[in-house]
Formats: sequence, C-alpha cells, structure tokens
Amino acid sequence: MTNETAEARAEPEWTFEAALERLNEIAERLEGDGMELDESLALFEEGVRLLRFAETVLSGADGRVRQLLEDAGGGFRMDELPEAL
Amino acid sequence: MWDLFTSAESDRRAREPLNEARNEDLARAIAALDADAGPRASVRVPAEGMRVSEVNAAARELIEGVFPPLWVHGEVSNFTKARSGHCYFSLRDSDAQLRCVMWRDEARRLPTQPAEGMQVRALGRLTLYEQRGEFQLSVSELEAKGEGLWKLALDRLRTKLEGEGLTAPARKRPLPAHPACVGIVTSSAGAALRDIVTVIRRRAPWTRIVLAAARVQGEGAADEVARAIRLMGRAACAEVLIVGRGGGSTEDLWAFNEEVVARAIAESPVPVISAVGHETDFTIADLVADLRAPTPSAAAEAAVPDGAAVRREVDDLRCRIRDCTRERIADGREAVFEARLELRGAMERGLRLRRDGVAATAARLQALSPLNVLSRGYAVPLGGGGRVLRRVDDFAAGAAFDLRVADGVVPCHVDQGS
Repeated sequence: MTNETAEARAEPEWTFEAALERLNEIAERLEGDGMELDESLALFEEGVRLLRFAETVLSGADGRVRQLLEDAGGGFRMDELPEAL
Repeated sequence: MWDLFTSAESDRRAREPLNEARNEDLARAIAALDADAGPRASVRVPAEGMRVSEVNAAARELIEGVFPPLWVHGEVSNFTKARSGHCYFSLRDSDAQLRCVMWRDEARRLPTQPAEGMQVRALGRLTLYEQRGEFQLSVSELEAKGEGLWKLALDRLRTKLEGEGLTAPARKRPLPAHPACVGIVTSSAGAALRDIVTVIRRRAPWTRIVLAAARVQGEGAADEVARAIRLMGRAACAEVLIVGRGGGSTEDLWAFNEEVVARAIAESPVPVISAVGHETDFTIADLVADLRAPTPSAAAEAAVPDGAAVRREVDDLRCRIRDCTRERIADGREAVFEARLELRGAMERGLRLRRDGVAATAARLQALSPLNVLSRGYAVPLGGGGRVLRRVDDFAAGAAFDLRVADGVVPCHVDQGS
C-alpha cells in the first residue's frame, strides 16, 4: 500500500475537529519520554498526514450555501441556494 | 325602518371603528338622546304584534347598525375554549357584564388563554345571537394590559418546560470547536441569514453552510421552524445549528416562544444556538437552546472559530511535531554512535583476552615438549619413516639413520665392521 492510497483511505474518516485532537495527542506523546524511535517515527508520519489534511481543509473556501429540502416521502435532498447572498 | 343617528356626522362615525375617545363621544350622544327625550329610534311594529324571531332579527339589525366596532375594557370571567376552537367568556366591571364570543380563526391568534380576572380590552362588534336572544360582543382582538397575554403565555410554557427539566443548565451541550458544517434554520429571505453567512465566511471560510428555510413569523411559522429543526436532525450533516431571526415586535418573534419550537430544539441531536431578535429579546427558544446568542451575527461568531487562530494552532502543532521528531532522531543518532563505540571496545577486550589465553597455552605446551629434553644433551635416533631406534637390533650394519638433536638433524651411518 503506497502512502497516497493510505491517505485517500484515511481522509474521509477524519473530521477537522478529530484531526486537530489527534495532532495534539501526537505532539504531546512526542514531547513525552520513553518512546521507541520507530514508534515516534510512525507518529511523526501520521502527524504529517494529518497536518496535510488540516491544511487542505483550511485552504478550502466553500463559499456556497446549500439548502436542505424535504422530499414528499419524508426524505430530504440538498440544493444549491441561488447565490443572492 | 328606523332612524337613529341620521345626520351625516353620526353616519360617518357609525361606519368607522371608534377609538376610546370616540367611544366616549358615542356615550355622550346616546345620553343626550335620552336626556332631551326627542324623537327616539323606533321600529315600526305591525298592529298584530311580532313573532320572536322577528323581534330578535330586528333587534340584531338595530344593534349592529348602531354600534361600530369598538374596544371594550373589562375583567375576563369564565373564559372557556370549546372543542370547536371558539372561545366564550364574559367581560365585566363592578356593575355589569357582557357576553363575548371569539370565533376560532381569531382565537387562534391568541398566545394563550387569559387568566380569570385579568384586565383586558377587546375589539369587537356588538350583536345579538338570535336563536337565544342573547346580546353579545363578537371579539376579533383581545389584549391584556401591556404585553400581559404574551407574558402570561411565556410564563406558563416556561414553567412547564422547567418542570420537565428542559431548561436545566446541566442539559446544555458544549459546542464543537471546529465544526465542518453549520446548519441554519431561519427565513431564506431574512437579514439574519445574510448576517450569519457573512460572519462564517469571514471567520472560517472552509465551513460548509446548510440552510433549512422556514417562515419565521405569521400563521404556522412555529410549525415550520420546528419542522426545519427536525429535518436538520435527520439529515445529520451539520455539527451545530443556529436557529433564529432578526429583530421584530414581540408578536413577530412569537414563533420562538411556542412549545413546538422549544421541543424541536430540545430534541435536536446536535447543539443548538438560538439567535432571536436583538440583545434585549428573550424567548423560550433561548431558554432551551444550548447557547443563547444575542443576535444572529453573534451566533455565527460562537458557531465557528476565528480562522487566524486556527491557522496559528495548526502551525504550532506542526512545529511541535517537527521539532520533537528532529530531537528524537538526533538522540537516536547519538545512541547509535555510542553503541558502536561500546561494541568496538567490547570486541577489543575479547580479542585481547583470547590472545593472552593462547600465549599461556603455548607456554604450557612448551614445558611438556620432548624438545626440551634434547636441549639438555640427549639425542634421538630416527630410522626410516621417523621410527625411533630404541635397541641395538634396530641398528643394521651399514644402515643410515638420522640423529635428532636440539637444534636439528644429523645424518649418520652404522659402522660396517661391528
């Protein structure tokens, strides 16, 4: 498995909130004592992936407002709101 | 048929709704009529008399023709709401009472039922209920002093919700610090939506915004708002909801004081920020929401983090993780270097020990060696194939043999003549 597919697989599972939380945890563990070097390198790699994810999120400017509409059957659908805002 | 108030002036008055001053004018006019005992209103009565229904119909026509719509002040008594939705009550003062009816369509606009004895004023038309011959006021609007009825409705619902624990501080959920998606329940045409979207885009432009539109005032608004909140819950796309509208009168904001909205907020699977009207407006929605924001803009500020601060946070994390890892790698290198030194020392020590051992063994071998004997002056005769010649018989006349001495070998012959 290459790095790219690992990322592609990891990303949809992460929310920005969860990613930041995990990054904080990684930083704290790296700052702590008593960790094997290969363990810390694995954490570092995970951290880099999450940082990249966080930056992708931050650089995205969605700009659109979606409208949630109710369907007849009790379901719902999402429409773009005409950009009058 | 009758001729009361026939002047043009009175006619105009009779057709227009009267304010309080006009009511007084009217009373004076009626008193004046009584006092001067001039020509009274009269109904032409047939000589043979009238049937009951004719009397009531004539009386009703007379009353409705004479009294314009008017405000009546008094105390509410025996207010009842029939299953049909129509409301019946009396207005009274110390001396008299007046039967009142409020039909379903008008009654629906009442925020709540007035309490017994409450001081109110009612706008209505005087009429006569012909079937029963009852004189009554058909009420289109009922107001308590100040915001009395609204306040009463609010207090009643508030007490009820508090009793169920829906307003308890312990129920308030924390807002997500970094929501990826914010849901908004408000009018798609209102200023509130524009304000909220503007603030979110300025602070955290990556945030997804989803609107569930609802009319926020007028008939049925509360149901629409509640429905939109529930829809948001089912769609499960937003991590936090903003529910609200811009400023308006107490009546305009009323949907947010209704029970359906309060319950929808309380049942929302994600935290709800209420943002109704201005700073000074308090609604039931505010009490039930997880956070009350003074305005829609303030709700947006509370919903999303400040982008610059988030960027700083991410940068800070990057530095911490990078620096720590660098340090760890440096530490690792040092450890490898030290391990190598140690290993080399250990190997050298091992080699030295072994070398010393070999020398000692060699010395011991040396001591046992037969060569030592030779160095003391002995010699060994060796025949063919290195066989040691031990006896006289081993030496044939004229045979060649080697004589091993300490520092070498001497070739020899046995004498022929022996």
